[in-house]
Amino acid sequence: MTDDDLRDRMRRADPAASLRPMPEDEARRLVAGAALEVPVAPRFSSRRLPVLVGAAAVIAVVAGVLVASGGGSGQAPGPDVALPTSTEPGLENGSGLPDNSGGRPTTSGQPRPGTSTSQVPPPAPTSSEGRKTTVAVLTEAPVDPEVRCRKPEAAVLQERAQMAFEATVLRIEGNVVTLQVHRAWTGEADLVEVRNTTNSPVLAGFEPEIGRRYLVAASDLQVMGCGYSGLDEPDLRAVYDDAFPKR
Amino acid sequence: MEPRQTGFEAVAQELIEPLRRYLARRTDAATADDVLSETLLVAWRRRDEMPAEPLAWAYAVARNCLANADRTRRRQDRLLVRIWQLARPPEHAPARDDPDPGLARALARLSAADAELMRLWAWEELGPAEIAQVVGMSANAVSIRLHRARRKLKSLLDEQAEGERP
Repeated sequence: MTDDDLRDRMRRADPAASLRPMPEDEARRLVAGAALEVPVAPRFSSRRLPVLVGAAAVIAVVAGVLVASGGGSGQAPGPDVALPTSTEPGLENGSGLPDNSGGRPTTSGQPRPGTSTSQVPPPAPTSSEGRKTTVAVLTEAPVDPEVRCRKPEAAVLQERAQMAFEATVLRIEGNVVTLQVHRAWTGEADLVEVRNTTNSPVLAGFEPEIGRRYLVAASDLQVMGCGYSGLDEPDLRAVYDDAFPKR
Repeated sequence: MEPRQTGFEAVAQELIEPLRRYLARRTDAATADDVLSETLLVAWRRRDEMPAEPLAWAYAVARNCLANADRTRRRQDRLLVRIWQLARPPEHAPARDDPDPGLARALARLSAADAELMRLWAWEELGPAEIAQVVGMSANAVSIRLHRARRKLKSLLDEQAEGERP
């Protein structure tokens, strides 16, 4: 028996030969859990991720992540009410922009008329050592059902967004939703936390799910709504791709 | 533009499948799940030490995590004095659906360290230098022990074949 014969025989007896590949989303969730130092068992095998929060809380929080514009018809999404905070000393704000907030919410984005803001304490530090960008949603005016946004345009996204990334909702705790960034068209962050202090549970018209992917854009460190942030779907992805072509 | 992946995640995504196979070959499914998660966690914490070719390094992390899990389980077993432990099959007994019980029996007759070298060579398809990184030996020592282990395993399999002849 040669070495090759022996190896072939062992390979035929490989216990992992019938192992099914892990679904891509599941792998991402697992890696995201590691980056937050939250061990999670693979969901598709023998266990499931414990439900962290109720559905209502999920809706409320991600409504804050994906802020719909309160602007008038035909307007591009403007600065709603989402303000950036840099939460931990030594952590980058991840946007590629300097963070001069000193850890406090800034007012770089002026609220629209009819929109009120309230002070929000900086989110509590997490155990993660990764780069983190925190986008804090303070509050917003009730969404006017009559307001209609124009279809997202690549040119607008390119002009306004300093951050554009694909991210999975990893964890929702109270009014803080944590997203793991997988890919970035522009800007840089591993983790994004969004703090929602709004009372409005519905803004973007869809229910978020832990483990699902979203495309999120931010202008002046404010989440862009009006269709510019939403579920990771081909149409929206195409806008992102068009907005940030290969240089 | 194809969006770029962030550093750790891009690497970790590539490591998941090899790590899953590594663990599936060495433990039960539930433990493999736990240890995979733990391995990624440790990899994240030690990501600054991750080499440019991270596979063998990741196997070494998984190996340590698996050893820790086994130690924890043994401690719990001792504390709980579970009756099922008395009926537990020997560590290397071939599974009922083992595709090659003869090979499993032969591997069980190698020392645990040699059997692991054989697995890393045949299943993970690592070379001596990579195996050395996983098990914490020198590449030279691995080459010598691997050579001996292969020879021993072949000899055991030949013995089996002789014994099975009418």
